[in-house]
Amino acid sequence: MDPNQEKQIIKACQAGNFEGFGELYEVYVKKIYSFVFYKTYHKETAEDIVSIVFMKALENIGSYKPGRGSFSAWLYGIARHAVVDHFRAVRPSVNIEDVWDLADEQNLEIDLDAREKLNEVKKYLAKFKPTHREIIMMRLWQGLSYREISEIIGFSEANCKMIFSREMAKLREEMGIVAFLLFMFLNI
Amino acid sequence: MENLIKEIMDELFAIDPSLKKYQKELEAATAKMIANKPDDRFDENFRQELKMKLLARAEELEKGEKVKFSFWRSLKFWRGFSLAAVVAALALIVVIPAIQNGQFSLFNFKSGSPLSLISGTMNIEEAGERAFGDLASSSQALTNLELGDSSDAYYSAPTPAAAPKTQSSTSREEILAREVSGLGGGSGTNAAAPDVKMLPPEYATKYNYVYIGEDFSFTEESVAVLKRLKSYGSENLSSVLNNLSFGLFDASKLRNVKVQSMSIAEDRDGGYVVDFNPYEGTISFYENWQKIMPVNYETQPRLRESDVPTDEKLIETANDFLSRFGIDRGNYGTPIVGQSWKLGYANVRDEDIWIPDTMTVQYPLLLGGKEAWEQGGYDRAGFSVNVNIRTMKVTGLYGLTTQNYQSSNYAAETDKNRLLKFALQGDLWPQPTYPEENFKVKEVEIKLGTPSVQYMRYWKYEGNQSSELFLPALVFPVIDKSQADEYFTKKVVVVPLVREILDSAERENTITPPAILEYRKDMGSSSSQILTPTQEPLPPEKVQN
Repeated sequence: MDPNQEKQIIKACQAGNFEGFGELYEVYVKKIYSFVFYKTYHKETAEDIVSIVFMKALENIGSYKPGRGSFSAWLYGIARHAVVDHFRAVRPSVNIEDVWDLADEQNLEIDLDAREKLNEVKKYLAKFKPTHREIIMMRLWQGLSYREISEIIGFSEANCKMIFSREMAKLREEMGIVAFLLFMFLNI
Repeated sequence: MENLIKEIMDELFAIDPSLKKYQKELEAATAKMIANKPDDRFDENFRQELKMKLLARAEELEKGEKVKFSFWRSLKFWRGFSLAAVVAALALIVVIPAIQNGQFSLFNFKSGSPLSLISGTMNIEEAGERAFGDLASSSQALTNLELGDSSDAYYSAPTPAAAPKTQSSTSREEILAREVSGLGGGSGTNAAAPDVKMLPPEYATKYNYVYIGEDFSFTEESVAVLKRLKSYGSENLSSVLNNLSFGLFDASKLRNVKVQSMSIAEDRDGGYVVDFNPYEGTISFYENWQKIMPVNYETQPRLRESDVPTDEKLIETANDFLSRFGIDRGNYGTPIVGQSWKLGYANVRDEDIWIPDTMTVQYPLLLGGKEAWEQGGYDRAGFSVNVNIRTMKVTGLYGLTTQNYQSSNYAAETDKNRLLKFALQGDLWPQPTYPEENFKVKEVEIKLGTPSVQYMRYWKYEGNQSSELFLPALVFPVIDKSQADEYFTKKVVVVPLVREILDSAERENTITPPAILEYRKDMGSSSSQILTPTQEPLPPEKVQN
């Protein structure tokens, strides 16, 4: 969506005309869903949270201030808080800073496919700082640009790029020859 | 994938050209990461449904309507449940369209206002004096005894079908005959006919309660009795049924139709069934037996005491379950792990102890910060969550009730000596007196501490209706039971402060010794044959011969 068009729709919504909210929704729903899913790894939970995110966005769009950041960053901020609220509700007694670890708790529901694949990479990613891990997953799994990642994380774009490159270099060392051979001979 | 890998490599080399020498390995690591990306299974139907709901909400906002949040709160609770008619197909047929439309006002079709099915809100409304009528009735005694005193389970809400078969015809003697059948200190129940006779016990226990607490007094002229309002507010569904065809019968002929009970089931492995009883205002969860893996207990290793998780872990598991389903714990106190499975194992070797697969976490109800005790003093009112300790999965939740009450004032007993007299009986009624010619009597001293004002749960039956009342009561803690055996599980002695309850108990305090079975030598040696009921009980020595 053209940035100017987005601004106009937001302005209209803030004035009480929600006709264009559906277009905003279409632009962001998949991205927000993906963002939430890769923190919960559970389809139904992600859908619940995404529903809450967009309902809150709709009802609170008047509080969005363009001067403080992009609409995208504002939306991701709501999503981040909704995820934290979710984990706070299901795991009130643990640290909620790192949802990676929470999502893998034994008693929480995680899609089977997600659990298996997470097990494949967790031994490598678990050593990284939560934010660094999040940057890698946003770039490789969610396909977000560094600009988008920087808005969500709150780091500068250059910093996000630097962190990504450093952590990928570490990942190369961690995975070592096994990943290389798999890549060369099995094409995965 | 190749394009993305190339894009990533270009970015990396632009950021740090020195990485280029590791290009193949970096490509391999990137490929492995991307290959292990979990499928997020984004659902187009979800996208469209949410969009429709948002647009509908947007329309409401444009009209200036206030925010409604109930649906969104309810969403999590309903997620994953497919509807299955178990009890009331009639009710479900009406309810299904409402759920599919996102209208969770299941029992309030006319207004269309959302209803929180597991409301954490406690409401107490004032009623006039003695609004619940005469509280004392002979039937009450029976009901408390029939409910028994399960020290772990909060099976708190009997259905109307569980109402006693008589309201006033059951005599006090019959009740006592049932009560004493165990003679173990508990008020075990006996569902057999009233003229039950018992095997002569090795000895009967007489509990001598001793008060060692501080001086106390109760000076209020009246106390507020609470009555739980059970109904969710199920509306008349006749108008809805007029447009439905069941095929087998004409549903429109039904009149004044209300949802009385229904069940929904999760159609997934390890799913739950949830029973709603709008009539009683209760909800329970249990595992969907059609969706659980059958357990072959012969191949399961026997559980050892060391396998029992810590109380903290069990409570954490139960709390997680409650959080997952949005069940509010605000009206309940600190959870307690039931210990009744240990009963009987005080002097048993570890290897002989049978450890149950399921442990119970109890959530005691709080009314204005005060606990509510069952009359026998064995348990608190509340709800319970069962946890399978092999799988650490919750297998059931029972006793969760709506929390709407009426409050009505009744005259209170302020005579300290009278209150203490009841406390030293150990219950509303005195213990049975065991004739020394028939029984060896073992006397046991139980020490009681300073009482506090809490509540006693009390069941009142009228016709086929049961009322759940909470009477302000003095609760005397049992602080020393060292002389008693492990089967003495009374935790407190509860003395209701409502004067008419005490008056009634005093009027009906006739004690009938239990009848016992007589030994007849001509019946042979089998234990099932040597005893037959007689009117004249024999002394234990004779039986042992």
